[in-house]
Amino acid sequence: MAVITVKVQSRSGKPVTDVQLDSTATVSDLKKKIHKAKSALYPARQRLTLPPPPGAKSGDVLKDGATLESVGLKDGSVVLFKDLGTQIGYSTVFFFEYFGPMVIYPAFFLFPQIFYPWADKVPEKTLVQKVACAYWVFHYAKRIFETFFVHVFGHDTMPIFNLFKNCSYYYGFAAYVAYFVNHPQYTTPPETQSLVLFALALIFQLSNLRCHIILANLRKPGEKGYKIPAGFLFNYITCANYFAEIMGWVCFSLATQTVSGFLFTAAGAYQMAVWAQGKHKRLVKLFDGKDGRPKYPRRWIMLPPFF
Amino acid sequence: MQMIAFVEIVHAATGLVPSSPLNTFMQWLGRSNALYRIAQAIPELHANPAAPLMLACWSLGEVVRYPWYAATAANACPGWLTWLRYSAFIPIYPTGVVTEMVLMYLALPFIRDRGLFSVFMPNNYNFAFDYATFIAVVLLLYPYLWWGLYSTLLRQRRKKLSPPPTAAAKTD
Repeated sequence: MAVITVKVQSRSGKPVTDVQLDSTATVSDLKKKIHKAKSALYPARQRLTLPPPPGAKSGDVLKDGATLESVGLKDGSVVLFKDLGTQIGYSTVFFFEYFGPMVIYPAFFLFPQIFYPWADKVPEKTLVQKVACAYWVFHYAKRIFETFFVHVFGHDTMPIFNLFKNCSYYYGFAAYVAYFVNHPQYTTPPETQSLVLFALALIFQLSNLRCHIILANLRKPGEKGYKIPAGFLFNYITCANYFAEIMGWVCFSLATQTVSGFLFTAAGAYQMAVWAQGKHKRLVKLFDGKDGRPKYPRRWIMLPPFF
Repeated sequence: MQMIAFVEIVHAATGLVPSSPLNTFMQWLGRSNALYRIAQAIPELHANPAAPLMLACWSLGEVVRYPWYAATAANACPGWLTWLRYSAFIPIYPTGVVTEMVLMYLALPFIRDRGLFSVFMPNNYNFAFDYATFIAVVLLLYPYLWWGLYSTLLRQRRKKLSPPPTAAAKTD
């Protein structure tokens, strides 16, 4: 036990503050001390890294639970600080981005006179349109339920800009899809075909829920770090949850027979493919089968038989 | 010619020329739209002075750019040509963009009347596309996108011409 002084600097070398604390303290204690010195910089806003080793661009990120000793910080050591900006909770962002579509879509369904003011007469909604609306609301209700009762978030917060970015994406597409499915001149596809496809979409949604439950139970309470997901579709696909999600939207788009549905599916699939590739690469790199680490099994990344 | 200009995107994408493929693509798309779907598709616009002026601006830009490529490739680029290549765009580019915007704006009533390049409900894909609305949105975005390209060119100009032109010509 010894009291050490850690110099906190910005990445351009400007001193932020000097912090004195025990050598047995953790990174999280260090962040609290910085917060004490600079009241605007609450711990979630702080990103701390070690100075980059010679020849490297950036140093290791300091994880909250690690002790200062374990990451090699001694008296007089320098820590680099980055302000991540105003933060907002993950569940808050998720709630708003999912609540919007849950309200926007039924608005088009219920109040056609507002959204299609030029239409002389609005025909009564067909069964396919009714089921589509119910399915849409169910989907976003499920996502909100998962946000509060299933998901375990790796991070607590994200920059507040994401709230606006994500909400524009979800609200915009909800309106774009709802506009065409509830259009007064909507062409209803064959009913049986649509109902079968909606049933399939529902099965994919429930599979997606099951994937999310498997992911939530992957780590025991308090456990951190990466693990190999296993069971159900994860035995074949790294991001089985994305697979089920995409297939659900493909079925929805076919069931409603809308180009807008497919554009929404494609936009989501592209973003998920980027995430899936990142996760797959990380897992393959981490679980290389050397030094007692398990070898990552051969799996599809997201969308068999293509990707 | 505008169709052949698509190879410029390929040149940028393959690294043959150092331009950004995205910027080249945006410029190609903007010009193709103005040429094929506006100026060519609506005969009433041919009489408007903006139409020949637009084509003159595009051509003038290339008349400077291609000799510069050729001379640079032959390692025999005179300083004044480099200066011209990185200066001529200053008046030409905004003029060209303004004429494109004028033509698009004048085209709006014709597009609406004739339902040009639009898709209407009802159809089996439950899809609609209103080209007039699309052009109205493009007109709003145009100045913003244009400034992105123009400022890139201004930055290149500073980089290429900040050492005296002769030195810049030699290092190119």
